[in-house]
Amino acid sequence: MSYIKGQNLRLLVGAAGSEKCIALAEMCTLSINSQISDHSTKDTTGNFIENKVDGLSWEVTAESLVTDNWIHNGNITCTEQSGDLPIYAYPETFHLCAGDTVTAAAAYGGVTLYLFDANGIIAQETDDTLTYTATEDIDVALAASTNTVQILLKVKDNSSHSIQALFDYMENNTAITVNLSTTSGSKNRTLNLTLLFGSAIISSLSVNSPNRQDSTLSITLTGVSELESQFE
Amino acid sequence: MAMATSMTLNINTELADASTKDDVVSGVAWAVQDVTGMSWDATCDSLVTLTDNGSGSTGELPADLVTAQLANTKLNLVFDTTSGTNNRTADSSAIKMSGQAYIASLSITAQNRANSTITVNFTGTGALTMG
Repeated sequence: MSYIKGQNLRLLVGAAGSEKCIALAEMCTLSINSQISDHSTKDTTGNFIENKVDGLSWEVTAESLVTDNWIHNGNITCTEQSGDLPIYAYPETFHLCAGDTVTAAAAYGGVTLYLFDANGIIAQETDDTLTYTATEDIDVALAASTNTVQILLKVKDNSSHSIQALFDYMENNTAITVNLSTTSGSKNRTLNLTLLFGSAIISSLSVNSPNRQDSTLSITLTGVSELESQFE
Repeated sequence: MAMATSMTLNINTELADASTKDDVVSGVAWAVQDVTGMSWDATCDSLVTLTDNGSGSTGELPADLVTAQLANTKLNLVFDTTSGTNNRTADSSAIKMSGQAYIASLSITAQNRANSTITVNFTGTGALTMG
């Protein structure tokens, strides 16, 4: 019998059909609570009380490290490479999930920018600015037609929620879909099976920044509708 | 319960203070208690699994428990020593106890780099009987 590892059970939240993981999550908990009250009367025989369920409620909590969702955001220059790479390339490889974006802008004109994966060039631009959105998990690297230009390289994690997005949901009292799902894939973000789902609002969001430690985010969502089970 | 890691059963006697000014022994006012009722609850922790092991001896899965709670289902609970395949065969021992309960709360926790766990709290309704 196989049991589920903690890293393969994740919360995905957001607008219906657009649910995403919370980036750098460390833990999530889903709790279902029954409101039980004593319905014993003088007609109840014996010593034991008679309880009944008056209602149900549920909530989820998640804890994660704080991130600005930038995988890379800064100036780079390409350097001469040997081997199969294009001659002027940035040596770092970036892993992208579906929805993540790459934007590269050269400091001056006349530069061709290339984005390539293990199989070759997947995007190129000759008007100095390259943009690319990943449609699946992929490892990419950037190259240029010259090594003398400064390039502003921005690689954005769009496949998980930023604090800004969560705060916007909370500020607007937006009910969002919550899925508890098994996941896999390179960042454990590929949804395999949704076990439980429902609508909830973010009832609390805390950012904690102790000195000499990683900043952490704690978020609680309170169910506002039925929680549905979809175990198989 | 499939892949259980721990279980606790609590039986509680509710007492009410029935002391009066008449209850003084050798100058000491001892409290007098009356039993007004009894209640019981149980907790079980287990690992989260989606499938049973197909050994022929079934265990309650998290899916079954969630379904029961969402449907406000009253469950039959049996506490007994066990043996046999997967330690799931009840022995009908001298300490066997049984009763009916509702699931008061159910929590699934998924900690990174640990096994996912489920904690279920049951609140008894009616008698817990021995034998």
